[in-house]
Amino acid sequence: MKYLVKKVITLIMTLFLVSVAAFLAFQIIPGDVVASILGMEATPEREEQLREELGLNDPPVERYFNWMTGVLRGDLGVSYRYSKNMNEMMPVAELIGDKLPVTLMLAFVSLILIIVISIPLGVWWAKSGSHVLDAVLGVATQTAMAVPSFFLGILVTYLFGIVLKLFTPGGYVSYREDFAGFLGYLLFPALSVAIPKIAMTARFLRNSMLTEFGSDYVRTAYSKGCSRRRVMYRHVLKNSMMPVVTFLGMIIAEIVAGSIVVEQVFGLPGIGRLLISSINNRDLPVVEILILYITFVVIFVYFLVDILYRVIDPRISEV
Amino acid sequence: MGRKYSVKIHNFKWNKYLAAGLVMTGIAVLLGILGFFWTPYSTTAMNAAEKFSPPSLRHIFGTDNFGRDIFSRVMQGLGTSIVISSLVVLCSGAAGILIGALTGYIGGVLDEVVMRITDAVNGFPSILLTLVIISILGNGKQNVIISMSIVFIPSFVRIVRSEYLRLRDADYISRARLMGVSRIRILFVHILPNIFSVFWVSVMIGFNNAILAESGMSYLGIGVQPPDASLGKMLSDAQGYLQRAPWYALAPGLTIVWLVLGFSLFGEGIRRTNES
Repeated sequence: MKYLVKKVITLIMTLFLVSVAAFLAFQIIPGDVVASILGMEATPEREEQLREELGLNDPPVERYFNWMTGVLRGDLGVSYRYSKNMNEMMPVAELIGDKLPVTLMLAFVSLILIIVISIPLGVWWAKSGSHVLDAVLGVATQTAMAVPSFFLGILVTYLFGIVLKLFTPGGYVSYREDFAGFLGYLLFPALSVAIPKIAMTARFLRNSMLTEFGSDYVRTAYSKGCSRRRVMYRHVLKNSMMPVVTFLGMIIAEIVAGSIVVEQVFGLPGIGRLLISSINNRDLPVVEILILYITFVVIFVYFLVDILYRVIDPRISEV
Repeated sequence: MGRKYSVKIHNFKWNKYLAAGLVMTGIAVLLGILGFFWTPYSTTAMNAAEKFSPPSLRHIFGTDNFGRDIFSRVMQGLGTSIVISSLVVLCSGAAGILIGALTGYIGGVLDEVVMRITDAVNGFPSILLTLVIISILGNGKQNVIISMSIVFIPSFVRIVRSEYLRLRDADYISRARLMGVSRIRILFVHILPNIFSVFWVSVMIGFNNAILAESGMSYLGIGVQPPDASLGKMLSDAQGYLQRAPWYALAPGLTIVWLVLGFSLFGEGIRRTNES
């Protein structure tokens, strides 16, 4: 319990530091926002008025607190680039609202694919003593790890979309209209995110299991009459899963990053595309919020993995 | 942990990983460098008659939507990728050695602070962090190099620091200290040569990640800008013609895979030589 409290405090501290860093980083950016919103022909009076509206005349510390309290209350500020209509600026919350689930769903489906495929694959690999299989899987996984996710996305589009016609490239279905169709389309981008990670995780599990096979408790289990099957699943797999869980936690950040890139390949309207276009348009309020969101997700997942780890292996909970 | 503080004499042993990695990266680097001086065809000359011609003896990777030779363009993109990743690895590696040496050897509060920052940066997706820095600095080749170098420093710091921590209390270092050797000399003349066997592995991993990040960013349109050729940009251009000319996408894509695979085999080879 004491540990949990300590962890939560660290979590909050980290988020605070990230928010300060994000805020500061975007303060030092050259270029005048107001001029870029209004264009060259704006009158000085109009510029001054907008500056006042956006709160750009306040001192930095005050602006940080205004921004932060806004964020905490759900007011994420307004986009500099998109507008709702002629007179109203687009709130960032509205811009992000229905895009966030797409990215999170993509990352989630990828994670499920990784777990569901890599664990049986790794176990099967470790179990088989065949040298041929060993060599084939070794080369295959090594190659899969070298393929960048966006190229994998293109390969998946070509193979499943154009040659096998299992899905229509670019035919995204919104999750609001047809959730099954949405998931069906999402499967392919998720596969592109997942394949390199599946290769990594399977390799990792296999090595971890082979190491465990050499340990004393395996010999003991055999000598007390356990079947090979029982030794494999009850003893070795359980112990080999420990490092795998940590490993999965470590690659969560990469899965999120991979999802953001792969969105671009499959034309998914997630936050990745918004982030890229906001960076290109220098739409800073949107970039700031997206960074904060992504960091929050990543840090929160690390936090969960940490807790989970302690639940699986009670030995470390005392530290 | 279990390792002894022995000074490693180079009993260099070849293994198949090292050989395969060396051959693969060697071919790619040679082609990339050659691409700066000579390409089989001009990379900009358009030829309407030869639009979308599939790979043949004349154009071994085929031609693109403007009838340009893809192989020549891949050579140039390869060159850009290799130069950018080399600069990134050089800058971040050097900074990593400097910071890692100081924090590992001196330790204390400095070490604690630097390690917390390193952990935070390492936990964050590197391509995102690069994007953030780019969005602050703006687009362009120099800014790509600067932002990637900053993002890659922590991974080097970590390796260098742990090696310095391991060697700090080695007998030969305490003796050097007793003899009154200056700190700078201990850091960079006595310890530094002994961390290289481990350091090279992380250099290879660095190359790997740098190539992936660079091509990823240019695929997203945020990295290297035209007229500089880049493999990522080629891929995103090719995506629109996937049905008509799949080789247009395959050529730059497989080139990236080749390069990354080469560097990772190379790194694995070095790691195995260190262990044996």
